[in-house]
Amino acid sequence: MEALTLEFALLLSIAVPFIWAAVVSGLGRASARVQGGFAASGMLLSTGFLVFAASRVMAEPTGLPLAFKRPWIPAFGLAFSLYVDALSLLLALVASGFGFLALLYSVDEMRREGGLPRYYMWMLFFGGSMVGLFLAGDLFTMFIFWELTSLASYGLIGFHKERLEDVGAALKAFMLTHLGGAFLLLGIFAVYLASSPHTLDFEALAGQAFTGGGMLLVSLAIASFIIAAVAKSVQFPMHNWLPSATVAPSAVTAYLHAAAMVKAGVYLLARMYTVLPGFFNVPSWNLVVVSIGCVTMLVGVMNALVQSDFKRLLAYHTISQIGYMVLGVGLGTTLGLAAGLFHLLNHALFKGCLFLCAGALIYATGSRSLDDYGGLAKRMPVTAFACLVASASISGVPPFNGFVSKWMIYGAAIEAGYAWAAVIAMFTSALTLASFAKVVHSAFLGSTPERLREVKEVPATMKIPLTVLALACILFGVFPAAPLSLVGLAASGLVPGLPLAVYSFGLVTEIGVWLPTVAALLLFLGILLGLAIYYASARVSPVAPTADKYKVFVGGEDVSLEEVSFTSHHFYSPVKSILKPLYEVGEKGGLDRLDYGIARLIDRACGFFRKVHTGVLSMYVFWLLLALLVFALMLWW
Amino acid sequence: MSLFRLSRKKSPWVFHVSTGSCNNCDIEIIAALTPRFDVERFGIVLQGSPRHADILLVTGILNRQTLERAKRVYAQTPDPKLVVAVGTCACTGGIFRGSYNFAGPLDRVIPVDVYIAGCPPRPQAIIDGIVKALEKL
Repeated sequence: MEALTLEFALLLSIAVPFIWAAVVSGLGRASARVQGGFAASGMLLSTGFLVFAASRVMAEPTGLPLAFKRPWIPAFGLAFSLYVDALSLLLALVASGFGFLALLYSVDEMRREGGLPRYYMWMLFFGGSMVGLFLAGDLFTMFIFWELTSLASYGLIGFHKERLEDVGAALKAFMLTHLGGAFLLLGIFAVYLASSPHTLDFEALAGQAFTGGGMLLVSLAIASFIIAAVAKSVQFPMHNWLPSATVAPSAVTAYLHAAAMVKAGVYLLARMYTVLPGFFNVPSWNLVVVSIGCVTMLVGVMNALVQSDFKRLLAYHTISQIGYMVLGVGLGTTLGLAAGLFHLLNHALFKGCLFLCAGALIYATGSRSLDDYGGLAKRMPVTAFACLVASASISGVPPFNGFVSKWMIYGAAIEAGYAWAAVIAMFTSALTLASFAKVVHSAFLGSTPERLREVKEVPATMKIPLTVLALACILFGVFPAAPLSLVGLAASGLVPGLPLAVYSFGLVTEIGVWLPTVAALLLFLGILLGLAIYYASARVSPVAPTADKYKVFVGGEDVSLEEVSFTSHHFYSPVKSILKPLYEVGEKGGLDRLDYGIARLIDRACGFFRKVHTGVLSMYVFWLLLALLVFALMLWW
Repeated sequence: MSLFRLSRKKSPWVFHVSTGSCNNCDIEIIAALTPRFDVERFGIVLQGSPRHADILLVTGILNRQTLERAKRVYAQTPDPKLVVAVGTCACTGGIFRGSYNFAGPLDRVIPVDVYIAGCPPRPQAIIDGIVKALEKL
C-alpha cells in the first residue's frame, strides 16, 4: 500500500503537468491572469506530490533506490519505469519547484502577450517532461523525455513565431540538442548490446558486469553519453545555442535554460555512475570530463565579460557555471559529486533569480542592453536586492550559497588530485565577480538616464519569485546543512563514500573547514561596522549634476549625462584590450569555421542521396514495387 | 597654516586655458615649464583637467566662441582657485579690443587675480606674476 501511494504520487507529479497542459491549451477565452494562475497551480501540485514522495522516501533513506515498473513491450524488456533515489528526487524537486516560480512570474510578465494558451501549454509540457526525465527508470524512458524537453524548448524559444530571429534561435537549439539526443540513442544501443541480459533498466544495469559486449561498446556508450551531455548542458563546443536562445521570454530562459533543461546533461553524467559503475569512474574518463568542464568554464566567462546584452551575458555565465558542475561530477569522488550537485541546486536558485531580474528590468525599461540602464536601485529596490544577492552568490562571495558549493568544488578537485582544475575554477570565479560588478553597477548604481526617470518596480507576482529565490540563496548559504543532507545522500548513492561531514556548526572536508553561521555573523558585523562609520562621518549629500560645475569636464563643452556616463561597455574595454589575442580567435570565425565545415560535409553527403528524388512519379512507383518484391522474396526464403 | 594650504602654496598646479590667443603667450607659458626656466622647482605642474588645478592661466581675448566654454571651465575648477591673465590680450583685449569677435575683456566675465601684461610676456614675468599670485592663496 505504501509503495503504491508513493508510486502514484510520483506518477501524478509527472502526469499532472501534462494534463494541465492539455486543459490550458483550451483556456483561450480566459483572462491572462487566470490562465497563468491555472498553469502555476499545475506545477504547484506537481511539486506538492514530489515533496510528499520525498518526505516518505527520506523517512527511511536506507530503502533507496526504489524502482517501479509498468511493463510495456515485454519482448524487448521495455517498460515504463520510475527510479527513485536521492539524485532523482533532488533534481525533480528543483525542476517542479522552479517551474512553479517561473509560471507565477509569467502571470504578469506575459500578461500583455498574445497566444498565451500555447505558451502555458508548452511550459507545462516542459515541466512534466523534465520531472519525467529525472524520475525515469530506464534509459529509453529517459531518452523519450529528453527529446520531449528539447521539443518543448523549441516551442518556447520560438514562441514569438513572427520574429525570424526567434525561430532561427529555436531551430538552432533544437538541432544541437537533437544531435545530442541522437548520440544518446547511439549510447543507449551500445549499452543495450553490451549488457549481459540485454536491458536498459537502471536498477538492472547497476548490478551488471558488462561481460557481454566488451570494452569497446561500453567506451562507445560513455563517449556518446558525454557528447549528449555536452549538447544538452551547453558545454564547449556545443554551447552556441544558449546565447541565441535568450530571445525567449525571461521566465522561459530562467526555467529552461538556467534551472532545468541545461541540467539534464549533468544528470546524465551523474547517472552514468549508476548505470556504468566501474567503467565511467576511471581516471581517463574523469580527465576527459574534467577537461571539458574547465575549458567550458573559461570560454563561458570570457565571452560573458564582453557582453552588453544582459540576457546573453547571463547565458554565457550559465555555460560557465555548468562547467563547474561538470567539473565536480567528473571528478569521480563522493565529495566531487556532492559539490557538483549542490552547485546544480544553487545555480538553479541564483541563475534563475538573475534571469528573472533581467526579465524584470526588461519589463520595466523595455530594453535588454546594460548600456541603457543606470541608477535603478532607488526605483526598483526589490529587483536590485535580488540581483545583488544573486550576483554575490554566483561570484562565490560568502556567506551566500554559491560560495559553499564553489568551495566544495575547489576542495573536491584538490582532494582528487586535480589541483590545476581548482586553479582554473578560482580564476573563473574572479572573472565572474568582475563581470557581475559590471552588471550591478550598470543596472542599479550610477546615474539614471532621462528616459528611465519614471520606471516602476515590477508587480507582486513577479516580485515573489525574486524574493523567494534571493532569500533561498541567503538561507542555503548560511545554513547549508539542510540541502547538503539530501545532496550528500544523492552523491553517496552514486559513488559510495562520505562526501563531507556536515555538523550543525559547519562543514568539514578533508581539505578544509567552513563555518557558515560564524562567517555570516562576522560578515554581518563587518557590514554594520561599515554602516556605523558611514553614518558617523560628515557626509555630503549627493548633488544632481545639473549645474555646470558638477558636469564632467570635456574641454569646456556642455555634454549631457548620457554621453559621458560610465556604462557597461566601458567596463570591458580594458579586458578586451588586454586579452585581444583570445577574443580575436572568436571574432575572426573561431568555432564557426568548424561548424560550417561540418555542415558542408553533411550537405555533400546528403547531396549524394538527394539524387534519388528525381521528381518523376513513375520512378517512385518503381522503387516501391522493387522494395515490395525484395520483401516478398525475403519472406519466402 | 594647514597642510592643504601649505601644499597649495608650495606646489600650485596650473591649468592653461586659451580663449582664442595667437599662441605666443601659450608658447611662453610652455617655455616657463621647460628646464631653462623650470617652474617645476616651485612645484608647478601643468594639469590636463581643471579639476586638478589651483591656478588657471588664461590667455587670449575671450572671443565669442570661447566665452561660454571659459565660463564653464572656471566653474569646473574647484575652490580655492586663482585666475592669472597672461598677456595683454587677456588683460585688456590688446589690439583686438572692439573687433567683431571680441567678447571680453576677461575680467568682465571671470574674476582675475593677477594681470601679467606683455605681448607676449617673458617667462620671467610669468613666473614673477605667479609668485605674486601665490600670496593670495
